[in-house]
Amino acid sequence: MSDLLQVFVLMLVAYVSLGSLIAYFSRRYGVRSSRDYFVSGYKLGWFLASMTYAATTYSAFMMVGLVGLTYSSGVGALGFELAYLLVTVILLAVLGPTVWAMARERGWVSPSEMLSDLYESKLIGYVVVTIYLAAMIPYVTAQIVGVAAIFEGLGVGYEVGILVMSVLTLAWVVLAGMWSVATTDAYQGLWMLSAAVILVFLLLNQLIPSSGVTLNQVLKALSEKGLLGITGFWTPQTFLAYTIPWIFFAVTNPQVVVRLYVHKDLHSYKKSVLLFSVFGFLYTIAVVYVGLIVRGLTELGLFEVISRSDLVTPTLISRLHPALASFIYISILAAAVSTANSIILTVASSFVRDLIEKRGVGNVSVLKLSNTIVTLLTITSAYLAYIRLGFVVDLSVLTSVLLLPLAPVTIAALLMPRESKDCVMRRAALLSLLVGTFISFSFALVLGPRKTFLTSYYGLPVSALTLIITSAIMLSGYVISRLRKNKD
Amino acid sequence: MRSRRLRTPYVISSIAAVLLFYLIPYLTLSGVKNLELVIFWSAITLVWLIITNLLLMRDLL
Repeated sequence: MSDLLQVFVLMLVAYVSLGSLIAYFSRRYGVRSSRDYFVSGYKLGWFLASMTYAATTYSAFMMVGLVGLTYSSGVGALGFELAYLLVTVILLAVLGPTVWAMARERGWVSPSEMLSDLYESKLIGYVVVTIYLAAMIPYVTAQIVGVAAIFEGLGVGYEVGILVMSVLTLAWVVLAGMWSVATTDAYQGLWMLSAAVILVFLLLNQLIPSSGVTLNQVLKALSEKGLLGITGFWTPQTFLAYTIPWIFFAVTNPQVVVRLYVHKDLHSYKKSVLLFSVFGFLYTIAVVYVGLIVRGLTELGLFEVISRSDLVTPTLISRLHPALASFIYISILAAAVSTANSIILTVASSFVRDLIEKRGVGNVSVLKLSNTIVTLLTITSAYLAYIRLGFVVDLSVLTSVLLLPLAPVTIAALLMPRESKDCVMRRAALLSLLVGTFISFSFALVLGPRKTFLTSYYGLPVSALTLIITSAIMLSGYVISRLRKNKD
Repeated sequence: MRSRRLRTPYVISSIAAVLLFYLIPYLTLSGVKNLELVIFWSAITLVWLIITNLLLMRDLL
């Protein structure tokens, strides 16, 4: 057994043990109803609420995908990730307090329940649950595949990676629902941010000096290659294709929408937005910085050329001390687990609330049922990861595109809660969801998910076309609804 | 009770900030050789995060 593997296994045991203790002790908060289980009874303080938001939002993509994207395409990757953060914080400031207040007032537990309530339509709730299932399971599967690939690379085995990831995801949900997820997310979020900051510190103080160059020389090498400007990769269409699905993340992705409900009071909500802003900014800058420095060293001939962007981080980690390498590997596992278990919990909440609980099942049964659905969703994702079903894993690239029709539907209902109850608006919302999902899925089936993501028509990516068409349907519904009212 | 008195100007300014975030790099900073683009994107994000959080904490949105 290599030094790296030995240290990794030891650190994995420490990470799992501490996380499980935290999850176990979170049971003291008490889970008696679906409201406690899925949204912590609306009692989360600002620290837990912001850390669970951050750890849920930032997946394994950051330390693997974004580092690689920056390495291969330059500073444009920073623009892509900061565009997400900028618009997310604006949406959290403008719409978040409204969602928080309405959730408490109306007793929302699941994100699909929010839409079915605002539009007074059970059918919309069912359609949204179906969209979540189609969009989110591939995303969870991709997180499991990513972790399993790391375990495989370390010599632990792909199947062991699937097992560890699935057991952690499941255990840290079923112990106390949102309470165990939020507390372990806080723990994992701290681990993720620490790993990124330590990596930057090491690059600056060890890797660059030990390579016999200065930071200025690294920057000069990046500059000469044009990587500090807009490279050929980041055409306006590509930038739009990457950013449009992500800038609406806060209102389309169920695992973050539900995190607007959980705060114990409005002051806690505001403080959590502040802490998330700080976390998001620091984490993004650190991760992009890593990708840029490694590319600069490559340009100077001091680091090997890496042709596959998802291998940049593993290659960099392989040069580090085993303890540090293990710390960063565990941070990637933590990012994947915190994203996956939040998604599983939220998708389960939609099943339980919209499809079952509202038909009158008692609380005890609901908790058992919630755990059963969480287990089934985890097993399904793990199985899809095990058989490495290419289309499903690829579909994760399109997750935010598939969820995009929810953006105009959600924003319209939150801005105009009275108008959204009108039957015309209700029909427009339903049509918007069906048409938007049909467009995304049709392209995915015909072109394949990866090609769909970057394909443009009339200079606009598929995500922009989906957003325009679904927004136009909602706008038409609003205009017709107003005209009908004026006529009456 | 939330006053929301700066909500509309904030939303309009935010849309302007996001447009600048998208347009400036492609119109004027696409071929830069130094850190201008990094600084632009980082600065506009940081400034807007600070403004947003200040307004939010003071109940003005």
